[in-house]
Amino acid sequence: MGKRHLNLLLVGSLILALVAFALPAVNAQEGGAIQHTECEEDLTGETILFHTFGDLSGPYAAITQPLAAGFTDAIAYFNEQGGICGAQIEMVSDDTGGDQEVTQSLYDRYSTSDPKPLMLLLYSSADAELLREQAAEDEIPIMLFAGSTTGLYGESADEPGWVFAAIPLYTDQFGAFCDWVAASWADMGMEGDPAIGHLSWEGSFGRSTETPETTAYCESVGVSVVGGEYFLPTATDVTAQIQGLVDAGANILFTTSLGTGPALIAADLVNLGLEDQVMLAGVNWVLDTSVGLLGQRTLRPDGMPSTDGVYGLLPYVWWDEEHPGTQLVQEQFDANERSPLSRNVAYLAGFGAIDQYIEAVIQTVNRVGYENLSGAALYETLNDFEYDALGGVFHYSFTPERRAQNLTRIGILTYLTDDSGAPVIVEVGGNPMMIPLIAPVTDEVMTTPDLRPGGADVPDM
Amino acid sequence: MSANIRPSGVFDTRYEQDLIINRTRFDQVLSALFTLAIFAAPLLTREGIFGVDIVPLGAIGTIQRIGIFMIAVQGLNLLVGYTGQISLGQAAFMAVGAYTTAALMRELGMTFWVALPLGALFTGAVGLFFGLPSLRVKGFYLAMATLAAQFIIPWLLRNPLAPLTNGSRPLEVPNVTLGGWQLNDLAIYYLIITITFLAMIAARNIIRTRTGRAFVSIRDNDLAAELLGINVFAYKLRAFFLCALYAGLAGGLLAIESGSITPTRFELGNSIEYLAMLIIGGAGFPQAAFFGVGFVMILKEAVIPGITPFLRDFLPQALPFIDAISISASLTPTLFGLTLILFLIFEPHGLAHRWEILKIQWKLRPFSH
Repeated sequence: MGKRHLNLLLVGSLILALVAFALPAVNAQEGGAIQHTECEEDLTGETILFHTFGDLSGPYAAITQPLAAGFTDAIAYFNEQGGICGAQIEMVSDDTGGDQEVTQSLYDRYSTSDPKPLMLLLYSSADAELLREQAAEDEIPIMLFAGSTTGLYGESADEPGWVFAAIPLYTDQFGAFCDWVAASWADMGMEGDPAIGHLSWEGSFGRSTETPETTAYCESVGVSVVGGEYFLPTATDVTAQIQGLVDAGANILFTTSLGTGPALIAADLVNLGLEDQVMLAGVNWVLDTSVGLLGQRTLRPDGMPSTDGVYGLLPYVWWDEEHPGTQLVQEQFDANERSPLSRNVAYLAGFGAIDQYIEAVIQTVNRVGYENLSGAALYETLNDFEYDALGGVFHYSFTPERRAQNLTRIGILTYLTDDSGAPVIVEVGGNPMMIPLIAPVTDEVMTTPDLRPGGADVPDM
Repeated sequence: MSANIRPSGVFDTRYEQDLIINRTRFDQVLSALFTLAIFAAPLLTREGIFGVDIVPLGAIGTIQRIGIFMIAVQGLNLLVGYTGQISLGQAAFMAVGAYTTAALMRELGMTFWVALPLGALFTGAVGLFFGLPSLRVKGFYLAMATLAAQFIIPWLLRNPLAPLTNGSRPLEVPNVTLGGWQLNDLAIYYLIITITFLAMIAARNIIRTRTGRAFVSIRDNDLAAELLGINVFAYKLRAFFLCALYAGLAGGLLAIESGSITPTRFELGNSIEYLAMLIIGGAGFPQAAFFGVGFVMILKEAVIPGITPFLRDFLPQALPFIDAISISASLTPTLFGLTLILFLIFEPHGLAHRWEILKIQWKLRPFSH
């Protein structure tokens, strides 16, 4: 608990930016956080397209709606800074609504457009898995904001394809979480030995963390896995699933869901009176403003929201940390008068993705020339790529063998409190709102284990 | 409701005339031109052998999916349109066909040419099982009973059958080969289109057989049909079998078209959409699948994407609460629902019925039909 309070103190002053988003933002040095490779060709007068589609109005909406805003603001910002070697960036985007038929239809349209997309940015495991083979055939690299092993490495998990992920694989995130639990359990004051139950959304994304490899790995470091329960994103009650996992011995619930998913589990833990006995944790999407806001619908007996104290993986720098990259994004966020509700990971990701795209295109143009710029050429660049987007808010590192990141920290979702420990409540749009905070609980960045089937860190099974 | 409306006084005078599917010169020419256009479409894209850009390349995928969904909807037409039974499990039956075809190819090393018909036949058998409640219940209650397929089948695919299906994770479908050659995209297109044509012709002929006439009699009055000596239950089961068989065929083709399958592609929403396509097309008309699927798919994949850029500029200014980026995804269900309501009110017999009337009006011009 001491560490948690220390972190809160460290980030507390910066969080006031969220409370009073109308106040002047911290003045970041314009462009200082971002260092692109120098251009060898002047592309002034040209237009380079940036293609993206995904679920903006279905189950992922809580987290992805601000993504479009992030892309729009980032493109406007970078175009003002000179675009890509003088070329202006133009976004082509669509919403799939979470429907795979729409995904396929949009892909057909995008992949047959003239010119073909240089790269597609997606953010759903299922979309990446559906399009993996087609994208390779059409020579369109995909940048994915999800950690799908199958999407990146195929069914055999050892065929690096044309899909690259901006975050660690979900299997590897879960392994890193087990590492942290094994090392920290004694200090947490929890009863019994650590035992994890998976409680996630039904589907590729939700089921991605419960694999024989992750279970074997966690058990090898002293954390048992009791099994998994799955629910649809439309579910309104998971008490039976929670009770089943707790009866099986779980004292940690790990969720691979986002937005409403973690909020529902947290609320039902409170409804069952289990909030002090069971820890809730999840993949990186759990640490998001949307979860912090949705969690306020159910309060614990101490008056704090049900999602207070949820742990998760933090493979990027969060808004409230003192970092020139996040300060730059905050500045743009304020300048564009975005709603505080949009101040989430997707908005950050939008900026990070555009920054990374610019760097990848510059490197490719420098290597092959603008006339030969294509998806295949960009793929070659990404095959051996190292870049700190927004000066290190997102870290991109790919090799011919590795398609995802492998660095993360553990973070916690909590709320801003005053000196007496009571939550600070502000008015947003006429509604009272507690201020969600996301803070790292591990100072050091840890390397995630490789838990793909046949991965380097998979123990003998 | 007739499947082939003709003006009063026009009769067949020879048995051969009665056997012909396209009975007038106009129908024959139209069918031939349409078939030619569909088969020539890939050649008229910028990547076709002529190098012209008459047909957008993206339309080829749309035509393929129209073909696949036409098969599924035609199966539903046999059950709903001709036999008067109802099913809310067509997408689940497609899943059975898709996964069976893929599993036979992956696990037993069968070629696609054997796996596809076996997958369709197995799906037909599954359809028989879910058709059993039709012995006791009908209408709304039968719909609820078939809804069970939509819950049970995906659950089976995700859980007990996960070693075969990969559960919720995608299942890669092996490539289709013929004589050692791997079929490319163009060959897959012709394969899907050919099977679609054959399935449509087969359905058209089924309706003209003793079985088809029994289906229609059950739909019109099952008590009267029974009094005429028709084994109502047996024929209802045949209708369920055929409906599921067509769904299995469509599922198998969808599997090879996309290269990988997940249970999320076969959800309740898809089943409802197929039913809606049938209503829009005109249940009980042989052209229902063509009109219904064509209308909905063109609306979804051509019209809505076409008007979205304009609406993105216009709508958020006129209605500030609308988010520009979500217009496309919002329009699809909105227009789809609106279209369905309008059809139910103003054109309950569907587009195929309107097409027949237009043809009669043309024949009888200048007189009203």
